[in-house]
Amino acid sequence: MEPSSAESLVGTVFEAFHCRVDHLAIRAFAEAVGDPNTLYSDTDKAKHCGYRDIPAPPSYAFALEMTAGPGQAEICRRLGLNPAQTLHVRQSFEWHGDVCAGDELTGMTSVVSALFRNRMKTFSLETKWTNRESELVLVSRSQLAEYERGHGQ
Amino acid sequence: MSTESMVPLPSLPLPVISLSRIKDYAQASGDFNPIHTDPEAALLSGFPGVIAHGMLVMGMAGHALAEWFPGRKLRFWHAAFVDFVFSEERLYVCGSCHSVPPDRLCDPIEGVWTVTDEAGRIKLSGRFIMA
Repeated sequence: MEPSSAESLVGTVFEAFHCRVDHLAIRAFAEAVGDPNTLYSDTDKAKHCGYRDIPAPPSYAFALEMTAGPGQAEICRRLGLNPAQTLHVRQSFEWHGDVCAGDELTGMTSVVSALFRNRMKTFSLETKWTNRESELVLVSRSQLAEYERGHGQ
Repeated sequence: MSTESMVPLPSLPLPVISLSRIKDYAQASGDFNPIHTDPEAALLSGFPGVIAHGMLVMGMAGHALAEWFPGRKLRFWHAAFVDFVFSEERLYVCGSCHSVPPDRLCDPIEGVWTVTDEAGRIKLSGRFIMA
């Protein structure tokens, strides 16, 4: 198979995925990142702070992408990247609404840009998260870079 | 972003990232790349030890934003993973933000943040907007 060009991979869309944000997963994730904020376990406090229910910790959507979404293995396979040489170099989250326990979200990941230069491949991916009403609640963006072995490390 | 009139935020230490925390995060995030969980695989890849997931460090730093801006909600959060973080490193979250004029206390607050080691070397750097 011919290696794909950068241009031909822009616009690649991964299969949409659905997930439910639940209390236990939020608590487990908050513990995993060592976040002691009781906002992630105390529903009354969360409501007092203006949330529908306990909110997800801010980086939780990335874990959802990895577990419920395409995941790194599938992304690398589709983009022709070697997972052992691929680094996550940037990440951002842009909220348009809150992400809380009880939410049912749909995520759709696509490749928004690609650059092959100096023996390095860089991809920018974007996941748009919508709720049951099809409203956009979050956009998460990742940049991945594959370095050719022996680049000086 | 212009750095004029930026207000420094108190530096906060991150809990030490132990190998068991990295393994727990692998479980929670589904990222089982062996450079994060297996010391031998990390050595074979040319690293002196296991590397913490960049997203674990970002996730741990999230608490600093809640400490700096109680009652506000994060609306944008960005990180560049500048350098590798190894287990057992001592790290700090630092930041600064634009000052908010007294007549515009409800406006979003924009700022920058970094995670640095004890020598001040930058591991992560990014931007944020709190609403």
